[in-house]
Amino acid sequence: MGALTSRRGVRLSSSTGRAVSSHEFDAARRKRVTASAQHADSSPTGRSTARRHAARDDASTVAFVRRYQRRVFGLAIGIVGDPGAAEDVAQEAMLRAWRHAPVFDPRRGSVETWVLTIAKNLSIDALRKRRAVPTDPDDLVALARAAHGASPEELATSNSMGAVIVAALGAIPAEQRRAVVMASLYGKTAQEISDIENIPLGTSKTRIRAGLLKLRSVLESGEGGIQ
Amino acid sequence: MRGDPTRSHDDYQADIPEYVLGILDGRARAELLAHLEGCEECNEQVQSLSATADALLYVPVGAEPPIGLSHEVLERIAAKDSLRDVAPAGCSPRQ
Repeated sequence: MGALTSRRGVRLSSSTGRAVSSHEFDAARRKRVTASAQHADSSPTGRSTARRHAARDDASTVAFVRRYQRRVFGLAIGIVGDPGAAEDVAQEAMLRAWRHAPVFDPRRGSVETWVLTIAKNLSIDALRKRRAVPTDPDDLVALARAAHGASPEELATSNSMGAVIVAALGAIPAEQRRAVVMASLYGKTAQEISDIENIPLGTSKTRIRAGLLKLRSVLESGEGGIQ
Repeated sequence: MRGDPTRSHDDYQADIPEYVLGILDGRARAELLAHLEGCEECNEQVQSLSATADALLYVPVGAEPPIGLSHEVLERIAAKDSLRDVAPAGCSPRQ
């Protein structure tokens, strides 16, 4: 995936200072295997137990989990609402990311984006299984706005990814913002958004399309604010 | 350029936002993917809008996970590794 850089200098995709690079990620997995092999004894049970301890205690595994757990859990609870369900999603997302690290393709974005995408997809599945009604998109954005900084000035000068995207969402029309949030975070299709908002399908598609294009334009220009 | 001959380049381009957001239905998605094989302009649009879609992952605020979440994940990672280690060839651990 390509990278966008706002005027505030925040890269919106690809590797960031906060993300583990693909090389580090790969090296961490190799190191884990080596470390666990050093702890192995000859019996299958002993080898299994030793590997369990080695993997659990390995610094790179611990660093991986600690680095992403807050953001992954925040995303999951933002989508599914229920803390217990969010915890299940967060656990499964980090487990899958770690297990599938060998197929991670760094050309398609950062490790962090990848882990968050896994968490988002699992959250949407959980939402569907539970038939739960997600938080109203206006409330989700309002909560994020409150957490990232109350004033437009604070948002405009912030350099965190969350603050930048929340500020950009504030700069697009409200009905487009709702459609984009429902589509991107709740996995709602154009037809579902049409039903929820009681609007024709064509209008729903237009709101999603126009909203995402306008959002890209705001992010690229570095503008943003509260409408 | 491949894809449904009754659909124009503009029709495909209009589907790209739903595609990058992961909500385009199966048939439309398959047709767009076929079109993407031969359309550089649409590929660029996909790349560019994917970055915007990725940015939306950062809307929900990070939250303090429950105590024990990292421990549980580390235990499960370790358990999967050890299960894989002792399982006979061809027997994959439960996903």
